[in-house]
Amino acid sequence: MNYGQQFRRQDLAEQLADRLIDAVDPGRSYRFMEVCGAHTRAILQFGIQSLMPENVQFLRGPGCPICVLPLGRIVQALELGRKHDAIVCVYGDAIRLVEAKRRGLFRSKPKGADVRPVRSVQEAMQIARDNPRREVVFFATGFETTTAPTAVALRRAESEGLKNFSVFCNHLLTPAAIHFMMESGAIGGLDPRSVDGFLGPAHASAVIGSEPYAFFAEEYQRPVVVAGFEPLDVMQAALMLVNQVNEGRYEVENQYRRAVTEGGNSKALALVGDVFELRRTFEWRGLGEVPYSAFRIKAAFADFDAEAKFDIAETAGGLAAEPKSLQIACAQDDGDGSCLAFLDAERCAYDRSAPMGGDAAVPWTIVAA
Amino acid sequence: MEVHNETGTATVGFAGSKEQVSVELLDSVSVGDYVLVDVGFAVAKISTEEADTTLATIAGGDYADAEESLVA
Repeated sequence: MNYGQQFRRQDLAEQLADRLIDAVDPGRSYRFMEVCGAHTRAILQFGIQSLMPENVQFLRGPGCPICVLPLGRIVQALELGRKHDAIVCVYGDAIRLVEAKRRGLFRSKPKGADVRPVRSVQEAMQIARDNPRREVVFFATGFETTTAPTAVALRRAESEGLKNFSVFCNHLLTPAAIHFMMESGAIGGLDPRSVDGFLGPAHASAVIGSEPYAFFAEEYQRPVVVAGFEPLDVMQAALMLVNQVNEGRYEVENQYRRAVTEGGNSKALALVGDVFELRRTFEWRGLGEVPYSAFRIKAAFADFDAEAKFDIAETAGGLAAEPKSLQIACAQDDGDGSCLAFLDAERCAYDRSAPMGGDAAVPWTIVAA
Repeated sequence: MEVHNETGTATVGFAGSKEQVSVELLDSVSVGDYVLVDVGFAVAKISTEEADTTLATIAGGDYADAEESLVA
């Protein structure tokens, strides 16, 4: 069966839309934050907001792993490419941002950095095998889903003795960012504490499971529903959140049971634990320093850790001072922005520089649809 | 899906295209399994039983009826 098609069925979407209208209390509003940029993309791509009752609003979360990365880390990667003649391998979703920065940085220099897009860390390793005289640095980005593959790569590099391969680690943790947003109160005009519930990420939760959100739901008394990325997934999750809010519950529920278990992927988690440890703090673009929100590579793998190998500072502070607000550069004209949620090649999906907060129904204005 | 045990990879099909992915993050996979793929790795197996249950819940009743409505 083509499950992809099944979870996009219009007849079932219409049924869910009707059930949502029946479920909502017309006397109140429902504000649900999607934590993951891939949910944002699904909501925009499939017009899911338009299928919601008028008093149900989706709000953008902290951002995708690329747009929350401070520009200083990108500058560090590019400097590394230039100073050490390294080939810097970058995931496709980050390449626009890195390329834009590279052009800006090296416009007047005879030699820039050799940046290459890859679809997987295996491709970066193959480039290292094919170029034994060059240093090859994998610019590792992403939340929990991409952290596990990087762990596999580091173990393989060690067993192969692939000495010219290293990882510049920028892997981030989702639960820490949501926790921080709730603790820090108003960010860029939006008070996350006014959010009634959260859509938990799909792929990241397939790795970490639904259990890590339990503390958060209890602590902040907000429901969390882990949801798949297909339109029916998002709509059903919205219905589950509405029901929880109506009943005064704040539990972790799992709409994406076909891929997510409570405990997650134990093999992947064990590998991540072998290779990575938590950084005490890490800068997020738009949020500032967020405690225990990112991974670094353990000392046992220092030979393959670009930070250790090339003596790169853990914090990129001072390289690119940025305001601590959610006015992230996603839609800036200079091309510094990039986001997983973008809908076309030219423009980011939403403009975060739009004013937020207050009674505004839409926190960030859609600029491409 | 075709599994290549010696390299820890499998060939997976999606929307008419085929791709070789790593299955090193999963305990075991067999031909015919559905997997969730991200950045060249299968990160989770998809339970078809759970998928059917979810669709049945969304359809608000017997899922077999829902399948008939798709064909119709």
